[in-house]
Amino acid sequence: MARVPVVNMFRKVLIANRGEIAVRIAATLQQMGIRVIAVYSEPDQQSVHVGCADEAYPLTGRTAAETYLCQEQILAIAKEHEVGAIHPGYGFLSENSVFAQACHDAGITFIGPSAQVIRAMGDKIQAKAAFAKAGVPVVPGWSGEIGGNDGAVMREAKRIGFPVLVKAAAGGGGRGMRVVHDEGELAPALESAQREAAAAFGDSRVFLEKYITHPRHVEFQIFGDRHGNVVHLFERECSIQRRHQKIVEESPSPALSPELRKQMGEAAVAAAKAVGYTNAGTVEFLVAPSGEFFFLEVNTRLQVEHPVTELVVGQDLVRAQVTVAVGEPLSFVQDDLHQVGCALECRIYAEDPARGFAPSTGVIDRYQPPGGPGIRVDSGVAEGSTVSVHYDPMLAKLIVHARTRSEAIDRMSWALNRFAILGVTTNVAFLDRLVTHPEFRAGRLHTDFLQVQRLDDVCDPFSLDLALAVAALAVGHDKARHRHGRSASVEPASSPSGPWHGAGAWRAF
Amino acid sequence: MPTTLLKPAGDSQPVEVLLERIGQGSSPRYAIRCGRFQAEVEVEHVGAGRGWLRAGGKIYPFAAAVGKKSTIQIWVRGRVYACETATAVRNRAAETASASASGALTAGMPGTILKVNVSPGDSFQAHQPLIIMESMKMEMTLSMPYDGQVDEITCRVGQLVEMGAILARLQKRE
Repeated sequence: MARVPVVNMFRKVLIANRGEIAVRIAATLQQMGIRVIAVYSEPDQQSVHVGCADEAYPLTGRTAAETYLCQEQILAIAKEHEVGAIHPGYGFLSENSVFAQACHDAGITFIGPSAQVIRAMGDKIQAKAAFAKAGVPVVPGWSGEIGGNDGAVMREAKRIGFPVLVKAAAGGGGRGMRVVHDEGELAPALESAQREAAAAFGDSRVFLEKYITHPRHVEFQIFGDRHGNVVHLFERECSIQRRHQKIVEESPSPALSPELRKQMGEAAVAAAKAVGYTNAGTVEFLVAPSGEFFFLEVNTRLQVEHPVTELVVGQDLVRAQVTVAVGEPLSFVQDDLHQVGCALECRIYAEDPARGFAPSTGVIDRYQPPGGPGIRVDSGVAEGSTVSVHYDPMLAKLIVHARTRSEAIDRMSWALNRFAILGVTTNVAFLDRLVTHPEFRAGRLHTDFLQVQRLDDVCDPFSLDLALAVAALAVGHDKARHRHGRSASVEPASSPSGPWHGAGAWRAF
Repeated sequence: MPTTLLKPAGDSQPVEVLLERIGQGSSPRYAIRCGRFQAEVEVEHVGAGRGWLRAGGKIYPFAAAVGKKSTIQIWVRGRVYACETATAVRNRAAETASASASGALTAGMPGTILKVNVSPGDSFQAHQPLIIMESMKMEMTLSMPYDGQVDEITCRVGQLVEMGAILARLQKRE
């Protein structure tokens, strides 16, 4: 069948982002025949996302605030190069209604919901009220003014009952969020959450919510077009979190019965219709151990974990975003969508699980992602990339798709064991211990999983010995090189002398 | 081949590794002895610092990288191992000795100093938040496990610090 061209399709789209998501968005845009415009900060000049673009322009500055969050600079580049639309990715400006409005005012399409919807949903207090009005169950809480009068906050916290959760009204990604177990923890938690929220979002407002113990985090992917169609693309379970940030996601959720799935999906769609939702969005729910579900928040952007949905429903969500943004109707209706098999995603972070997941920085000396049937790697880095303190430490996402959940776990474990990253500490081995843990295999997940389950790193002595052998070979080579009178600081790439022949990137010591 | 003294990351003691090359050819074979472990290993290189080993009839892909300060990272069997040469261990010990003698508060991660809650001369209690830092938009509160007194603050708010950087010098109250 001949491809019917969309008459008013964008010729050029600017991606206002970096890392793996910029790389992933560029791929779809280019496949749609759209020219990709990248922007990059000074430290990102040699980043992978720059090389994937068709054109790339620098942003002045080093920090996120100076660059990927700088609306003026991004809009100036967009105007100068006559882009039709801006794709914000996730994070940065993706949920910034002021930016969405500024794009609109400049005659540039913002690929996402309207500024008005972003504003309403971005304010978690407002979003909760809107969903409650649409008949969706919400978590009990209090959203009064938290400021000088600490007495009122304490009274409300006691009314809700400890433990309570302090959340930023403008929050996301776990920032500006604190669990308060007793009265003594309330004041410092409020201060710290407000400070973090002000720094991260420029909005220090926080609110209180009942802290539900051991809940599951289940979210529904929704999609709306400008013709009044809203569908859901089923759920993703993202219960495995550390520091309130997701690290493993999957679809379907092992916790949902077909009835509960239908009920939650319909609630998400009804509420999305009520607020006039367009483009991609995610309605997050908490599912209590009792099976009750509560609306949590709406993310008005493409999610980090969107590939899980793409693999299970067989749709390209970025393509759908662009189609809807141009004004076309969605290419699928609810009855077209089915969950096929099971998809599992692990987020590969530069962090040290043994040291409280502290971020790790440095240069990536080795980077060998796995491949094979049902394996997808969305990478934002390559060998030689620098991981700096300026940005999120996520290096890549490893996503697998298989017939059943059990096969997906086997595939994930296989792939994790073949993912070599050196130079920075990563959570790869930790993720393998996690997905092969009996409780994970059994699907008994909740958001406190990592606090409750022990994932001890049991060192296999044989592997350690092998590793030492390799290391000794490296040192032996070095000593051999010294004996041959070569310079200690220059390693000729063509040195034929030792076992490390060809290891030109190796530094001498 | 000489004996190599390596120290695996963590609390492990340094290990003596003996390597002896057996035969010549494009895939060198080595007899390896470290502790009770003895194996004959064949090394197949497919690129810079990567390839696979044949040991005990099985194949083990590996990747290796040597960092600054003589640290060595090895990826084998899906896991990463780190070790240092004996020289590196000695150098590092010398560096940190002076710091720990007087008591020092160090950065647990690379990042930016957000808040300094104490000044020179101040007394502090165990677990009292002394310095708050931020890295990749996450806050980390630094405190000490003992009561004491602040001698010197060696960082300032807004400063970007490396992991392990000394942020304050302290004295433990006896």
